[in-house]
Amino acid sequence: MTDSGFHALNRALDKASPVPPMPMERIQDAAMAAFPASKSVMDNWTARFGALAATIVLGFGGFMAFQSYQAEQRALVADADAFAEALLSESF
Amino acid sequence: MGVVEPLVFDPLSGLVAKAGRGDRQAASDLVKAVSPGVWRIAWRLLRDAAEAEDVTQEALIRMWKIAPKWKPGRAKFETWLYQVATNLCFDRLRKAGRFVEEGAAPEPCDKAPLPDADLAGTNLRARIDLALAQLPDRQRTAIVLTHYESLPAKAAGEILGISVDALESLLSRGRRALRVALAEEKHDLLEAAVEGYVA
Repeated sequence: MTDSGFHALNRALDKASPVPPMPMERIQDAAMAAFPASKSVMDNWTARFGALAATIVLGFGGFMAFQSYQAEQRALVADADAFAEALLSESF
Repeated sequence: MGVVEPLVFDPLSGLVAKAGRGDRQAASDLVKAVSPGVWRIAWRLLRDAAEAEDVTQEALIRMWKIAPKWKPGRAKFETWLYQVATNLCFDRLRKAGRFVEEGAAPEPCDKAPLPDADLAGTNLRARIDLALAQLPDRQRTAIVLTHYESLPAKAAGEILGISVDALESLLSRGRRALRVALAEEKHDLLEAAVEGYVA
């Protein structure tokens, strides 16, 4: 069979062997009935708890870091004050 | 250093990801997008509407299991789903003892006219259906995937679990068998293709 003959055969095969219409509604209903709905609820809760846990951890961590920074600053100021006092008392 | 596989663009990956996260609307859209293709493949391989419906539903249920774990960019989701559907069809054909292996001689076509063959188109359609049905199943699948579903050779090869070269060889054997089986109808087929009178 020539090339053009083969392409013509392809076209004819397409038209000659049609697929019957799909029972879309039944297939859609069955597929959606099997869709794991509970999983989505669980996933939502997981996501919410995950976000909450992350907020708590970051918030607590941030608070501790800030407290530590403040304590460090206070210690530095106290050191500087003590040094200045010592310096002044020695020179005068 | 290994060869890096190029990322595969998949228009369905967004829907798959959303469905995997439990989005019902995305899941419904995904079913609408993929089920016609699965149905067509299942029907062409099984030639039975009830069985094709079962296979389509089973493939869609498997889709829900894989969707949350699906990694986009590696392969097309449709290719994976068609592979599942094809394997389900092969399993059913094997269980029913209807799976025709490669090399098994097909039954010769019955050339007697069919009772309802009063229309030339009906008769021709029946002959083509018969010729397709008598192909070994893997040859028929190769023809269905590449010709009817217009899938690229690489995707069709992945679905059948063979290389592109092996697929070409399968297709060539299938086309040759069809040519032989439809030799007598060649003239009618050409006429049908040109005039488009076969419904």
